[in-house]
Order: sequence, then C-alpha cells, then structure tokens
Amino acid sequence: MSTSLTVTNLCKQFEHRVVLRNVSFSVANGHALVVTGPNGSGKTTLMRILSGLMLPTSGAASLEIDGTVVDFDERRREVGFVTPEVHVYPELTPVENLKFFHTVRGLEWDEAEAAHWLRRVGLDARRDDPVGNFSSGMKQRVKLICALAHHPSLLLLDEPGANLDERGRESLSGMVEIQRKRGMTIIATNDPKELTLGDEIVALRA
Amino acid sequence: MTKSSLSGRKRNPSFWRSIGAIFGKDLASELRTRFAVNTLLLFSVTSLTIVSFSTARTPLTKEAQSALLWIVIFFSAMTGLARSFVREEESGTADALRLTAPAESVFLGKFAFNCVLLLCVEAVVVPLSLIFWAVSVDAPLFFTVVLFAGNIGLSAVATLMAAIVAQTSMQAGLFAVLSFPVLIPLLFTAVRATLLSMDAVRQVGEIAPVIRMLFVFDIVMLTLGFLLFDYIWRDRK
Ligand SMILES: Nc1ncnc2c1ncn2[C@@H]1O[C@H](COP(=O)(O)OP(=O)(O)OP(=O)(O)O)[C@@H](O)[C@H]1O
Ligand SMILES: [Mg+2]
Repeated sequence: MSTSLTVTNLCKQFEHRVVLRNVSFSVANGHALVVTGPNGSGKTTLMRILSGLMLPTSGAASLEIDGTVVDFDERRREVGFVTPEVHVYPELTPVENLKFFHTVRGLEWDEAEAAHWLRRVGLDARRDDPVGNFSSGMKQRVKLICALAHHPSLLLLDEPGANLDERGRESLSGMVEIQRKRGMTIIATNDPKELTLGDEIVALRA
Repeated sequence: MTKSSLSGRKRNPSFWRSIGAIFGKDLASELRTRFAVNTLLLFSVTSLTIVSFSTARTPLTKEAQSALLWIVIFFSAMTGLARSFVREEESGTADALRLTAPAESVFLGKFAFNCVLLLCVEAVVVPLSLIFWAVSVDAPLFFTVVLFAGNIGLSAVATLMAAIVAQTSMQAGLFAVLSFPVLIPLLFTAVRATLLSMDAVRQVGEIAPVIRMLFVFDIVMLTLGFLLFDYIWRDRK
C-alpha cells in the first residue's frame, strides 16, 4: 500500500486577508513533514484544509491511497487530526472517547487495544474518570490517542506538544515513529524541539 | 491489496452502529449532566402548574386542553432540544464529530436522542395534565399514537434547526423562531387529533385521516432533514 499527499498551489483567503498563498509540497509514505511559521502564518488553517474541515480558496490537497484519491467521506478513516481548538468529549472517560470515535468511524472496537493506548500515554490509572476533570496535558494525551488509534494514513498534529511534560513529549515522538510505519505525518509547530520530528520542513511566511 | 487486510483491521462500515454510538454518547452525557432533561422538565412542569392553578375554578374545554398540552410540549421542546448541538459547538467537539462521523448518522443519532428526551417530557406532562386538568381521554390508543407521531415530527424539525442555530451566535432565540413556522402544520394537526381522541362520540373514520396527516408530516420532515443535514452540518467555508 502506498499513500501520498500532494498539495498544489494551495491558497486560502478570509474576506480580504490572504492567509495561504501558493503553498505546494508533497509527502510520501513513511515520511514526516514539519510546518513552521510565526503566529498567524496559517499553520492551523493549512491543517484544517488538509483534514477536510475547511475548503481552500483555490488549489488542491489530494490524499491518495494506492493511486486513488480519498474523498471527504473516506477521510474520516484515513485521517487523524489533533489541533488546539478541537476537543474530545469532556463528559466521557478516555476509554469511552476512544470507543466513540472508533465506532462512528465505522471501525470495529477492540478493548485490548484501548488498554494498550492508555498505557502508552500513562493514563491507565485514570481510565474511568471523565476527561473534563483531567489536566490540560492529560487532555492532550487523550486527544493524541483518539487521533491515532484508528491507524490513520495521514496524521495531522497541530502543536502536538502543547501542555505535554518531558515524558509526554517522549511518547509523542514514539507515536510519530510508529506512524512512519503506517503512513504520513504532518506536524505544525513553533517549538524548536519538535522540528526534529520531521524529515523536512516547510516554512510559512506571515 | 486493500488497506484493511494489510493492517489486519476489520472494518465495519455499518451506518447503524455509528448512529447508535452518537445516540449512546448523547445519552451518557445527558445522564451525567442532566442539563437538557432538567431544563425541559422544569419548563413543562412549571407551565403546567401555572395553567392548572389559574384555571382551577373554570374547567377547561377539551379544545383548550388539547391546545395547552401541545403548547407545553412545543415550548418544552424549544427550551431543551437544541442543547445537544449547542453543546457540541461550545465544547469544541463539533469538529471532532464532523471529522469522524457521517453526517447522516449525526442527524439520525441526534434525532433519536431528541425523541427520547421529548418522550421523557411527555411521560411527565401527559399524566400530570390528565390529573390537573381532569382530562378524560376516550380513545387512549389514538391519544398515544398522536403523541408519538407529534414527537417524531417535533424532534425531526428540532434536530435540523438546532444544527443551524448552533452555528450562529443567537442560539436560543433563533431556535424557536425558525422552528415555529415549520411546525405550524404539525401543531395544528396534533391539536386537532388530540381533541378527537379525547372525544368518545368520534369514529375511527374521523380520527384516522388526521393521524395519517401527522405521519405524512413526520416522513416529509425526516426525509428533508436527512437530505439537507449534510449541507447544514458540514459547512466548510
Ligand atoms: N475562520 C477564520 N476567519 C477569518 N480569519 C481567520 C479564520 N481562521 C484563521 N484566520 C486568520 O488566518 C490567519 C492564520 O491563522 P492560523 O490560526 O492558521 O495561524 P497559525 O499559523 O496557526 O498561528 P499560531 O502559531 O498562533 O497557531 C490569522 O490571521 C487568522 O486571523
Ligand atoms: Mg495554530
């Protein structure tokens, strides 16, 4: 199986403000790309477009699996997206969140795998607490595993290290390494420590 | 080779499961927060009690009883049924849902949840009104069917409208304003059908067409909701 993401001449404009101008790059299977740029340069906007949540003003971002383009409806299984403004359900526990996102994606739920993910991010002791009561770093860990557990072809991480401690960052880089075996990763960040997670860097200008 | 066979994952594209997951998630959240059901019950029981006190000396006509019953149900629906969407937008989970769930299952899951909420309201309001207003229902079976059919139509419209207003900034006000015109035919028919079911002298032949109209409305609204929901929900600017 080969997956690839090709972004060609992507532009995004909100009313009169041009945020992205002719952004082009491509990512191949097994690779990780880092997108950087100052605050307001359009990193989050780019990630939202890649996830399918937002349409570009012009240009295209096409995700291909084995030569066929994945449309929005299929993207729900192929993409995992972590971004500061999108949250998991605060009333549900981490396991319930994992199970929910798995089931609505139309995938078979596996209790053992959930336990594995919780252990990975050190949350097994809190598996029955509602996520709303978690610290911000713990919430970030839950968001990460909810974006990863369905083995996406394209993993989009917008400021993935936000609120994470040293161990959290370690498990984050572990996740990016695992993702290399499955597909592609795009990381939007300003954190110098996270620049090393990728093989290539795309810099957006303000 | 397909992706699922490569990764060893079993895929179930089952649409019903995702509907069940959304319904179950809303139900679990509601059971933990009790926000919508409290609002709904508070409103319905208060308005019912006010009506009962103010009309204690003058018994209500059947026309007034059936109209009041639907007024209470309609406004209860308007106070609580937008909640599940508003909450998604407020807590920043709406995008997570857009990314992971098919739009049609979001509509049907939320519709089912709203139906259940409204059923809870009816389970409290109807017995109370029967007692407080001394309503006598001569055709209880028809009466139940009318409530059920009204519930479906109300929930379908409320689910669609809630998805629209949750994305705007004046949610509560807009919800009733948008829903009312669409619900007028349903409410009129439901009031008429309720009245007929309270009255013993009516014949089945007279009630059946009215009930059929209610179900036609339900089917039209559910179909419209199902078809339109994707455009409303997945507004990718
Ligand atoms: N929905 C929107 N409507 C109007 N303008 C928007 C919208 N979303 C983003 N913008 C604008 O687009 C620009 C880029 O925003 P974006 O969030 O993509 O930046 P960013 O690179 O992620 O910044 P940061 O490093 O702070 O996260 C900003 O000027 C922002 O005001
Ligand atoms: Mg950003």
